[in-house]
Amino acid sequence: MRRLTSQDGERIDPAEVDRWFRQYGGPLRSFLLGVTSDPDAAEEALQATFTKAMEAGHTARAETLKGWLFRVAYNEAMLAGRKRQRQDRSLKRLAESPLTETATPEDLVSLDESIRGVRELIDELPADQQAVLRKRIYEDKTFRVIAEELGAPLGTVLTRMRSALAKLHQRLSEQGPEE
Amino acid sequence: MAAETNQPLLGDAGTEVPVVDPVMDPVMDLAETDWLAFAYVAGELDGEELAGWEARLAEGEIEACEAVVRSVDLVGAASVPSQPVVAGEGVSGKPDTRAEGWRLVVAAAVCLLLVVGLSFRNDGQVAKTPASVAVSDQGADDGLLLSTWAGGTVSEADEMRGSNGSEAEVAESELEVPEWMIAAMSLPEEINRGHDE
Repeated sequence: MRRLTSQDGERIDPAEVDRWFRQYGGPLRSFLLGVTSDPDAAEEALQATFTKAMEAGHTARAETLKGWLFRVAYNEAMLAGRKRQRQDRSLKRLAESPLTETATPEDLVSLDESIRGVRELIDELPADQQAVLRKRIYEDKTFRVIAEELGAPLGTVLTRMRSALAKLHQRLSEQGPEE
Repeated sequence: MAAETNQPLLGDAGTEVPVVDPVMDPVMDLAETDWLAFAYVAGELDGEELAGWEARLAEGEIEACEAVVRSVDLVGAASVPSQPVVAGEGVSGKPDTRAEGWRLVVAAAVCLLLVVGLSFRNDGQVAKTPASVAVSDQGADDGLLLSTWAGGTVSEADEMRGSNGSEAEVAESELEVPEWMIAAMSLPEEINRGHDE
């Protein structure tokens, strides 16, 4: 078990925390965005997470560092009262968040490819899957409302969405190496 | 917005998720965790499902947390406004640095041409001005001086053009090199050295 302490053995080396930020900052931001549904709140919680990492990072173990950071991030979001009620969740708000705020040029290239790939794939999806996906993501309608609008059983709508998501996830995983 | 969903949406036993024909749709293998994460992000989780999912996140369970990351990234990628992305320009709209570099090179070349052109004109002007001090033996220094002076007057001239639009007047004034400057450059080297010491 390896503890992440500085040379004096008490505090984490700031350079180490900086490395964590570069490595995990992007995924943590996305994670917090998913938890809070609010770009500003996600940013605040991200800052708080790395402040906490500076204070208590020496207690983390290298083998479980990523999980430690996710746990701290989630707790910081909760402490700040940023947890959104289910009714407040909105894919539109997520969609409005800037993906490129702190992205490096390499990230931007990768992101650009991902966006192109996802968009192309959405256009290639079967019409019924495309309709559900567009209504859910772009129009932010619930599955139940979509089912009513399409005159289809809820289960059918869910299946179409799930199938569309599977393809999109696959495309994203092909284009962007996961952390 | 999603308050009306009270039943599980995730295909557990008893729900109405139909079986999909694998021949018609072979990519129907979305991991349950990814589906839960999407439902969570979309606000479609409720009750026990939501509590259970949030407990996984609170524990820092990598699989669940990364699934949330993937869902957010997917929604983000799918939702970016459709606009043509210019080659060399990221989605953030950052300017192309190569194009900017070329603009700088062209601007520098124009400035250089202006300076050189004005220097030649100033050479003639100095010779014709009776009050000017003769500077015949110090060609290199004079060239530098005139270039510097002419370069310095370009922006002033531009300003004047902007204010009264009279280019002829500007041309006259910008070729006037102060006598003190030419005299200073014409002093013998010994004097300059003596001042320095």
